[in-house]
Amino acid sequence: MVKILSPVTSFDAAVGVISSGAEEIYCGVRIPGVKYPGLSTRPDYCSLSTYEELGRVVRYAHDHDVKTIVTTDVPFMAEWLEKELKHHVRSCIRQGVDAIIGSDLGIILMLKDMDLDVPIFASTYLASTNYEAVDFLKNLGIGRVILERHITIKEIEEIVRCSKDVEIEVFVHGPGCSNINVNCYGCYGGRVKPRKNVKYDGLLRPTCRVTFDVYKINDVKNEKMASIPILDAYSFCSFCKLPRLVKTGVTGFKIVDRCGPPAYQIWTTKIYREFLNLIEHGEIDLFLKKLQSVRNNPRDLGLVHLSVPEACKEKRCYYSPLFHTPYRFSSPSGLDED
Amino acid sequence: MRFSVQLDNIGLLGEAINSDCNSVRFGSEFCEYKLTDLDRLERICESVHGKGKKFSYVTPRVSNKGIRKLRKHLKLLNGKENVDIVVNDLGVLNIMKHYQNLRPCLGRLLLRVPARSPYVGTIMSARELLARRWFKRLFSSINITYRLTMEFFQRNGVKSIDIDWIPSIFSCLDSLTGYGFEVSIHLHLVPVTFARRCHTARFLGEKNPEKCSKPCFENAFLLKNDALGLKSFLHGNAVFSHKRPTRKDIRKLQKMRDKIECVLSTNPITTSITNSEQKINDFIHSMGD
Repeated sequence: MVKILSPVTSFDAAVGVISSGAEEIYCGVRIPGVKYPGLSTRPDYCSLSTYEELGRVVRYAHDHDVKTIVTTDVPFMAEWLEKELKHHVRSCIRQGVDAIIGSDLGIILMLKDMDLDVPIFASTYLASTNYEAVDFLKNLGIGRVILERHITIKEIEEIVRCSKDVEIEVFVHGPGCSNINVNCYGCYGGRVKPRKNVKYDGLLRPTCRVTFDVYKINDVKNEKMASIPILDAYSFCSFCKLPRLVKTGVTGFKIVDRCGPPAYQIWTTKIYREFLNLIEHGEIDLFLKKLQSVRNNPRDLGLVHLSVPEACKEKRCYYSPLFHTPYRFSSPSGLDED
Repeated sequence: MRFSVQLDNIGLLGEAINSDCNSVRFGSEFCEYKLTDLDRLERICESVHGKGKKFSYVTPRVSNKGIRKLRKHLKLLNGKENVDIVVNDLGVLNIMKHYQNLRPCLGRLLLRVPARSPYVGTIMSARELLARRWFKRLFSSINITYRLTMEFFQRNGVKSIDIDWIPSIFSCLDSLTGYGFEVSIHLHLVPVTFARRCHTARFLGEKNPEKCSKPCFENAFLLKNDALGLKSFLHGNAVFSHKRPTRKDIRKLQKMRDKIECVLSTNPITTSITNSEQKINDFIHSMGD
């Protein structure tokens, strides 16, 4: 049976997603002394606020046979971060977490060096897009590899087939990046106090949501070709692809958006659990019927991104080409989309 | 200082091999659909060696299919002398162990460099003093200068490391060379982001990546958002910011000249300084050699 991994940002959210059918939950915890906006694309509210809160979440999860996985949340490693990160990891382990996700090769090497007695998982930040990359990580002692989003179902099938003794996890839902996550520097979360001569609100917008004026280089006329969010190509949903994804043999389906409201995290977990139950019991007709009702459901879950019907209309599907997805967030200045 | 010319379009090979550069790098850092065929790769390698220059094969991040194709390429190149492989994928690094004659060089996609952010200037000019100190440290760091990472790559036979022309990270060079790594510094184009689902292909209406007509061999685009102060270049599936080398920055590197190589990419963005052998030579000599 494929596990559903749901994001949580509070104890209440953890209770909600566990009662909705998550087999595993994952979260970050604010790292004392590490300033988030410079290292992670997520603001503070996307993580649990204290280790004590993590402890409550872990105890509740364990009481319900659910595992809690903690992300290191820092897609970067440096000598000057080692002390804080080691303290952070030890603090999480003291709360009883079941695994740690490493998001940089250096962090994984540090975790190995710490000789922990919990499994280490490789984050999507390791950008695994082929079976040899998975083998590389397996040889480092990694227990589970979370694949890059920009990959096809056929490629996932082959990776699972070629990868023994290592679990494979894939993303299924939530606002996925337009670009390869680890190599994208256009997405720095946070807000800065603008300089006096800058006419904007200081929010560091992800470049994939910004409208650009596009000019062809070396064009003698130097005419503007378009004014569009040319880097916007994010994926959102994989409801329709669930039957095929289940057959790939992956260990887990990950729901994205630790920064999303708990209502979204709970609703998404519930729907995926229902769908997976139907698929696993061979009730494909009922699955298709329910799928249709979800596709028509314009329910507002407080997401700034989009709803499932919009995602369908725009073909913002995980695991399929997006060359012809309509550009979104189109606005003359690029400033009014949030 | 040594100079290398990097290209992914065979049409630009003549200018590169006839220039005064010390070595030629062929291949795409970013797009696996630009992987060439075996015969052509052999011809390119022989042409470069025939001019007495070192040859490096640049490989992108790849899918399973790309891994299979690259195995054949690496097997071929393993039979040649003096070939380096620029690796941008942990999977490619994993298969390098089967080809003992080839020397792996760590490509830019395997490095995390916070200073590549297009918002560095905004952050540094806007934050309060304490945070500025934090970000100054962040923006002068590269992830691989972490001791355990450098030791790991050293054990895995990595010979050199590609970095960007970002003067704030030049302070990392001592750590890298101290571990015995050579360093290749890419001039002009700093990668800000890249996609597997190509933004250029989508913009120009390409339908199938497998059958892409490679419009990026001829085209690149300037992307501007004046309100946010963003100015980038889109070339194929990658977005770059532009950094012009200054005399002051070049002087910083002079003391390490024996350990570093400068990489000049030839593509539609840099065409004004790379579209002829003479222009490449003029640029190389303008850098002080």
